Amino acid sequence: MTLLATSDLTKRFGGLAAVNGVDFSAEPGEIVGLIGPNGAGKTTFVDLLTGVQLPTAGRITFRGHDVTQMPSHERSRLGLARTFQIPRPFAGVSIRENVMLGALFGRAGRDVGMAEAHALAEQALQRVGLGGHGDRATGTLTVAGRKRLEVARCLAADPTLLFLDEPLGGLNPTEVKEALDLIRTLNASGVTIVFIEHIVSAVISVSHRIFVLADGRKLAEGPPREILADQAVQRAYLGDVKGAVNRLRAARQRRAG
Amino acid sequence: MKVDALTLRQAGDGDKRLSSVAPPLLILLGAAGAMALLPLVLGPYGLRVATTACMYLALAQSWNLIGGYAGLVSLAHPAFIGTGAVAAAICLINGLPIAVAVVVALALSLAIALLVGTPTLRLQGHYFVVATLLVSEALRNFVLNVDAFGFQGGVSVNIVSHVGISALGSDAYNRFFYHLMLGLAVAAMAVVLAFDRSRWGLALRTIRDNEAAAAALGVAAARLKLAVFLISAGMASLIGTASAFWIGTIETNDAYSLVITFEVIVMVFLGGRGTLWGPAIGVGFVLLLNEMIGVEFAEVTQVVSGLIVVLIVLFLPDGLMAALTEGPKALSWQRLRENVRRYRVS
Amino acid sequence: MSTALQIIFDSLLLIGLYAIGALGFALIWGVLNVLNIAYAAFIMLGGYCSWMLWQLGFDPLLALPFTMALMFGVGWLVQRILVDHVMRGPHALGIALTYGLNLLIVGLALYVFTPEFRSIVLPDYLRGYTEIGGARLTNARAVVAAIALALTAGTWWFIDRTEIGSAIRATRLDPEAARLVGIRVRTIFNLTTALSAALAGAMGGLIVVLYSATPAMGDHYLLQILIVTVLGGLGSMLGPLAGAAVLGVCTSAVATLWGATYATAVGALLVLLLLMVRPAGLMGKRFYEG
Repeated sequence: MTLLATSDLTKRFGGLAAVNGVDFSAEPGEIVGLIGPNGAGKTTFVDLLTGVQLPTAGRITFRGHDVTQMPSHERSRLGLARTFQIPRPFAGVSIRENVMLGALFGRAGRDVGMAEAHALAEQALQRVGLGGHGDRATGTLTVAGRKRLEVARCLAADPTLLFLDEPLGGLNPTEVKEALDLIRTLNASGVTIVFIEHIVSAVISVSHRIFVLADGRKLAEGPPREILADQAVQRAYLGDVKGAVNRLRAARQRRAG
Repeated sequence: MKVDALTLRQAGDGDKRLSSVAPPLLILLGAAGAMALLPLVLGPYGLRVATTACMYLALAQSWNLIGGYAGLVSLAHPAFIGTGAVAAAICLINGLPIAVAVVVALALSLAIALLVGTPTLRLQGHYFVVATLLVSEALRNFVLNVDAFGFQGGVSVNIVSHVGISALGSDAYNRFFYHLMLGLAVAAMAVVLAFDRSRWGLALRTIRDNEAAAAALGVAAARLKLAVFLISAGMASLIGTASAFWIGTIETNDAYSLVITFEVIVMVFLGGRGTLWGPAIGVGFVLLLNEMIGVEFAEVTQVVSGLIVVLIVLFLPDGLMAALTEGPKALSWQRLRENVRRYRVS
Repeated sequence: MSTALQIIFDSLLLIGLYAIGALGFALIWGVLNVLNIAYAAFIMLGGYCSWMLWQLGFDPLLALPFTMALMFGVGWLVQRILVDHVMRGPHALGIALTYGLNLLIVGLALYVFTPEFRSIVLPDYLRGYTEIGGARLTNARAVVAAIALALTAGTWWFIDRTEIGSAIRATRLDPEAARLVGIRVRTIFNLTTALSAALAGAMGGLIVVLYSATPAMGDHYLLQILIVTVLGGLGSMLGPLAGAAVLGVCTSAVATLWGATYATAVGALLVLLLLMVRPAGLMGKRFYEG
């Protein structure tokens, strides 16, 4: 059974359609890479799926429920979790308390007590490699550490489907490799993963399937190798590069002239 | 796993907060027990100051819930304090029993809180502050124009004979209200303590930081904020009712006064917002200062308290509580300089 | 007809005062995102400044530019020394700081000027009136309205048409981006608060001409300014004028029809209703966009 599906999903801001009639699906156990040039609408798309924003039109179903208009916190309890592009841990509480929140509020069905949440948080921290650091303030974390903390928060909520918004951004090559290992490990433990990423080589290496967005529309979809060879995808990316170079050149000329 | 690559430096800021309720509860009950014996040593004036202190502490904790823990600078407090006083007074002068008066006033305040909380809590940033201020002012102006049930907004009401304990001698009367206010203050502290150590307290602190992220982890932010707003309003209303009984005369402009709420906010800020003991420290500090300066120099009090607020915000933005938890290190010149620069525009 | 006209004429004074006050208040709120409680103290200082200049023999209206210049300096210093240090903190910190500052300045004014009412003898040219359509328009009202229009137009021109104005707009939209294109953001903040204080000074200077100065005068007007600012929104330089017109006419009409005691309640209710429908105010999209 399909885990998550959208049909004709659309979000307009005034005249601009950031997401335009997208049909997307994720099957249980998959790793889906969501790529696209800058401004393609990737983050808006994930915002719609997780309820941070509500769509203008279209429908979203998750585990058989229609979640199109469902508020964010209820989707979380159904098993949807996400990280944010710029990780901003809750600064007012410790690292462990950050993670405990997911255990206390993100789980469906039953109430998790404080002691149990404490234990679940410790487990989640172990899984992302932050074990033993629960008592620290979040301000002591590096960018890579903060990204892991966000993942741990999600894990504590025991998600079925995890969205990662640019989990590799701002990481050095070693950290990228470690993060990719983490994604594989989580997936092996049964979590379906959809992730937005710019580093195409990394997406290719870890994804089972790739979904390409451009100008808010679905451009292509398929296995990594196929997508890499796709003419339209290459044009979308190279077009973006050419455009950027032209803009830079024009700006330089303006300054010179 | 290379852990050191993920954390910049060691720093101890643990979640001891969640570890146990027992120690602070023992301290609280011990302090309450000791304070309950104060009438044995205090004269009438001292007892009045102590009663006032308890009233302010209860109010400060009720505001601390919404303003400190939720980080929402609500100026709707006068609406609830005032309604607690005026609605109870109207009940009493119409011959209703005290218990009914208390409940009616509380129910009315909660109804108002529900009515204004639903739309205003959606507002962003300063719009919430302004909207809650206008709620208070609109209600004050409305009550000033009320002329019903034998109550006229512009005329002060004397309810001493209706409170039912006017037969008491003045000593017993003072002691009764001291113990009542002390009870309210301890109850307010206990509510905040329970809240501070609970999942709801944790959730509220995270909403204050980043509401979208908290919601993505399953926190029903809107409902939680409304619940805290209601609890805070209910506490304010009860304190308003109790102080109306204590003072005995109700005047609309005084009952709905913004000044008391501003004083309370200052106390919470001075002591440390969003902490259990901070408001207590703030209340003690401000009232002690007022006693030292004395009532005959009102403008001096104003200048000094203004100066203190400015200095605290600049040099100790987390309040005096920081100095208590970290010791004298928190007051070192270097730390104060760091504090001044912490939020400065770069 | 003449009743309606009289209501409008009566409200001109309040509209003018509110518009000037709200213009400065919206400026610091819009650009710095600071809810400046000390704005009340700025108004009061402006009032006493004009009063003192009048005592030195100045014409009360000619004193206005000097009052504004002085308050410009006060605003600059307040931003530089105090408000700059809370700009990146939670917004409650800015409210607490400016509240404390207001307490301090008003307390000092109580000490220096005493609570006594200080007023100015109205010059002859402000005393007369003109009759239009059966309603009386006093000179004082006409002049205040004209000054409010001139200040609004001047501020609009400055923000919309000058290079510094565009730097202020850019800073409002995105301080980080503004910094990247070489705008000195801290200077822009100082300048904005200074301008805002100058407008507060103008309001105070006019109040003392028409009514009188007391240490608490600003606190009274701050509430009306808040109402006007939210009614007008932070969306444009015309917002404060529009908000002031709405509140002024409402106040005047309510006072004529039901009595003055309902005026504030009606204004406050107006704002609360508005905020329910449009959480960004009457003319507010977001300050100077599209």
